[in-house]
Amino acid sequence: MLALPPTLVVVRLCRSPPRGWLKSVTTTLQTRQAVELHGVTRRYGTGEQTVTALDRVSVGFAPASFTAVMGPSGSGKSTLLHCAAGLDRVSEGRVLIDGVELGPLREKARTRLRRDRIGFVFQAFNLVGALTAAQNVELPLRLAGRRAAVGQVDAMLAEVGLADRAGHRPSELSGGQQQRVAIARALATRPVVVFADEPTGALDASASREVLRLLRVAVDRHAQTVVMVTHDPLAAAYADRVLFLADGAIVEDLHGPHGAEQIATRMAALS
Amino acid sequence: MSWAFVRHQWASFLGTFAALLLGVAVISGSLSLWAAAQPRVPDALAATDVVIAAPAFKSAEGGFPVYRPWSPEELSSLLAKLSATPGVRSAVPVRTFYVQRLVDGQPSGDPGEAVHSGAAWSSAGLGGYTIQNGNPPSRSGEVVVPSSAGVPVGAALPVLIAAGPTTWTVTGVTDGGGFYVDDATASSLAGGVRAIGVLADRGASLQVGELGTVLTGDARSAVEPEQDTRTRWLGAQLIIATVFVGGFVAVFVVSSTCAFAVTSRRRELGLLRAVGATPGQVRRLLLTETLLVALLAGVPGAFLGALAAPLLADPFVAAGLEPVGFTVGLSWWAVLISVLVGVVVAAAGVWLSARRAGRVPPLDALRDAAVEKRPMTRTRWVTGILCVLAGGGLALLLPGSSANDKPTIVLMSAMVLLVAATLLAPVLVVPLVRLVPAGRGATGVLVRGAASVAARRLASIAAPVIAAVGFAVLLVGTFQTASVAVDIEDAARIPASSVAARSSAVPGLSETAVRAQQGTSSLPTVVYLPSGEPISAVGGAAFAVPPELGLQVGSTVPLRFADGVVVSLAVSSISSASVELPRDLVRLHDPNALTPVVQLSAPFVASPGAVSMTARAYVEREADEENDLVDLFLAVLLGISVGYTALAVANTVLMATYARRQEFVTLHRTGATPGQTVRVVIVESLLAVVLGVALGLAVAVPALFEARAGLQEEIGAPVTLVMPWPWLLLVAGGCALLAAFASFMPFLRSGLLSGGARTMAG
Repeated sequence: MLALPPTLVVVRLCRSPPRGWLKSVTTTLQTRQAVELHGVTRRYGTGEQTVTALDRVSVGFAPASFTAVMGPSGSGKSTLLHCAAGLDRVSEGRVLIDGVELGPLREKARTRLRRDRIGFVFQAFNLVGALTAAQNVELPLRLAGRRAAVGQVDAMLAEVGLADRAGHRPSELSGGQQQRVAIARALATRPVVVFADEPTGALDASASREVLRLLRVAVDRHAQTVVMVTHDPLAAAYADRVLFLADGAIVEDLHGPHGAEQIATRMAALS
Repeated sequence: MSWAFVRHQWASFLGTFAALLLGVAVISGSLSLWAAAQPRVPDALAATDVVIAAPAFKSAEGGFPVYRPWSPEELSSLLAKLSATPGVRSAVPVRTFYVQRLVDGQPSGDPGEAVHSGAAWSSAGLGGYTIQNGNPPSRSGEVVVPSSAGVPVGAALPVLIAAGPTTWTVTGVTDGGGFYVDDATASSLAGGVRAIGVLADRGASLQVGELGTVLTGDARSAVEPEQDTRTRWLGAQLIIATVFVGGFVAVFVVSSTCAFAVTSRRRELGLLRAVGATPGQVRRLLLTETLLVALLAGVPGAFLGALAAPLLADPFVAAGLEPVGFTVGLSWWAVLISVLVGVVVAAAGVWLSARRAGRVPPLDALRDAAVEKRPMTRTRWVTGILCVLAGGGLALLLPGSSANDKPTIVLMSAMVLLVAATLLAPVLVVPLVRLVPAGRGATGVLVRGAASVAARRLASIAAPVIAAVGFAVLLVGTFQTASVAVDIEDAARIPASSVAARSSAVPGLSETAVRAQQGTSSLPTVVYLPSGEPISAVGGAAFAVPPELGLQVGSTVPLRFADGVVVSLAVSSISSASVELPRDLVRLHDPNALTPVVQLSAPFVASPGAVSMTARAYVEREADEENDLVDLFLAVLLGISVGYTALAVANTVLMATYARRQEFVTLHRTGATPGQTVRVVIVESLLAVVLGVALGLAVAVPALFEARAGLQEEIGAPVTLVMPWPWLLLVAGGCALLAAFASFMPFLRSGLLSGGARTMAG
């Protein structure tokens, strides 16, 4: 029998198993988390100028949950997201996505994992200017060498209320519409987890509400896992759970839905 | 998907597109000319089946083979042997001589062509020519002319031959070119015979042994007139130089444009990486984009060049770069090859940038501004230093190389060093920026701040300026220094104050024109040593040889003259420069020899083809004819390199300014007036131009000194270095103006500032 080189083995592991299989595994093994961080530390710089952005953080994000990560500027909330998503390497500790440890993965395998199991929504500049809304939604699939099933992209766009904007380029869309296209793209691969980094940071109140509603629907209707970094208590109020960070460590972990006012009070107490 | 990027961001591909379009057009045009400029069988031998060429001498240093003439005995035995060979219908010696028609007493037609426009009637059949009207020439003084001359049978035809003006009677008109006279006259007017045209049946086996070479098919072009070969060689030099410089500059421009495009697209590339593009996919995306542009630009460029090339045929002939009768057709392989070259150039240009693009981390999608982390990457350092070493190493080869290789080595070394200067430019940005006075206003502070964090951007703008200044100073400086040196050499040769020189309508002075003057002249000819080596000689007094031939006074040398006759001569003295022979002996054996100039000791006497001028004017005219060619070379090479780089300057500045619109919006919001913003951009661009000029000079000036050292060694006298200040000012000023204008341009499009604001809000 041929021995596979380690990278190939990893590639095999990374291939998404059939949805049904995943469902049954996640329901039978309730302990299995979508994303797990164990003792994650991230330091920047060297010598005396070293800054510790994350300090031995351990946390898990359960499947089909909506978590908001909050904290004052510099508390490490963005770093937490980057490390959990494999965009940034950790200095110490382990990150597991869907049970796969990121640490030992080479760049290519890490990219594949990101492509197949993670969706991203950034604060701004989420879309490739050269491509239409539909092409942007289809982009992760095409990068994976797959074509979207007939009607799949249209269905995704319809779900975010932009069925009539498929052929428009980002420059022809409003900021709120662009974020909705970004959400459609993030959901297109049916990822294990969607990371959203201040998704409403550049939007007005009504566009923000629409974006947050779409994330909520993804969790409720499609059992999607969402992790969102935000500084806005109104946004955090859409989540099932709110994590508060300060100086690179989790200082509070609120479960269950909470009102925006309650969250704002906690925030104020922290900063 | 690549297509979507190209279509959407056409502005950022404009520079690459224009550079490739021009580059491919230049290469395709040059290749078309090259294809057309291959040696061809002379028209007068077009109907031959076989041409027998006389034994050729090839010098050890390369150069053109020189055919020595057969002696009369060798010729008759060869002709007898050929005629006796089965299958040979006729074997005719080719005897050509100088003849030029006089129209109203003035020589007409191309002087270069005239040298071999007379021929023997017996050889008319070799060109397939027949009498259309009248009779063949039968005795001395009769001539058959081409119908294009428009002279009727029976008319008197005044002509100029090497002996002087004479008048012939037209007995017939042919469908060919040239003047045909009877065989006896032709053999007295022509020098020796170096080719025999043979009409033979297919399969006839010709044996000539040591006495020559049997040429068939296209190989018969080997006997085209030596002058045509020389002219073609000049043309080929220009074409090679054009392709070389054009190709180099195209790669240079494409690679700097691509490198810059990657820097300004970091965020977009980061986003692609974040949503799952592997480094390989990003790399392939960039490669495909550029290759698409290469095809889009290459196909029209190739046709543009190939279609423009035929228009260049006449200017090439007029400039003396191709022989008369040169025409250019549409060459498909030139089109094809140049499109391929365009693709290769594009791939070479984008390769490094594509690799760098693949390494853009996905986190860059989240960075607010594309702040450069380090101006220099390790690859850049390593490649830059390697280029410095390679360029320096090439320069070290100079002292030991031959005079022919020196200019090439200087140019190659300078090109490599230009690349090195470009790669290392970011290092120099910060120290340079420190020199900018901070002043009281905001401009100084902003420029110093921006330039220190964006060393790469300044270096990108400086890159084409480095090449433009480097090429201009090096090329013009080398040529001008060389031509000054040549003038010094020539001026020493002409002592008399007044001369009778050939007019520009004739190749030289006839015997009659020389005899009409009082003064001294020398009659140039070529004689052949027993080895077959040709040596230039002049008809003067007694047989004298320069010391480098290694002959003793009194020793006897068998010399073969232009008519093939071998005469043994005893050396009577050692001369200073050239081989001298008794003038009458030269005239006897080289009836075709023409005198270039007579140094007058009495007033000038008018004669066809002769003009009076001062010695200085004569030297200058001769030098000018050469300088005209040099100027043409320069104009073409400079046009390509500087024109190209100007394009790159404009393109880089435009791209840079456009990519920074967000930064300008911020400036605008903090209270900068549009005027202040524009000033910051212009000052920054000018700073980059200063950096480019300084680096260009740093490469070109030492190379110029190397070139001068080579010349001094060759001439053996000190040579003044010509620093082309006007050119430097012109190129530097032009780059500065272009850069300033291109920085300003995006602001002219109303709404860059407000448009940027909208993008930011959205």
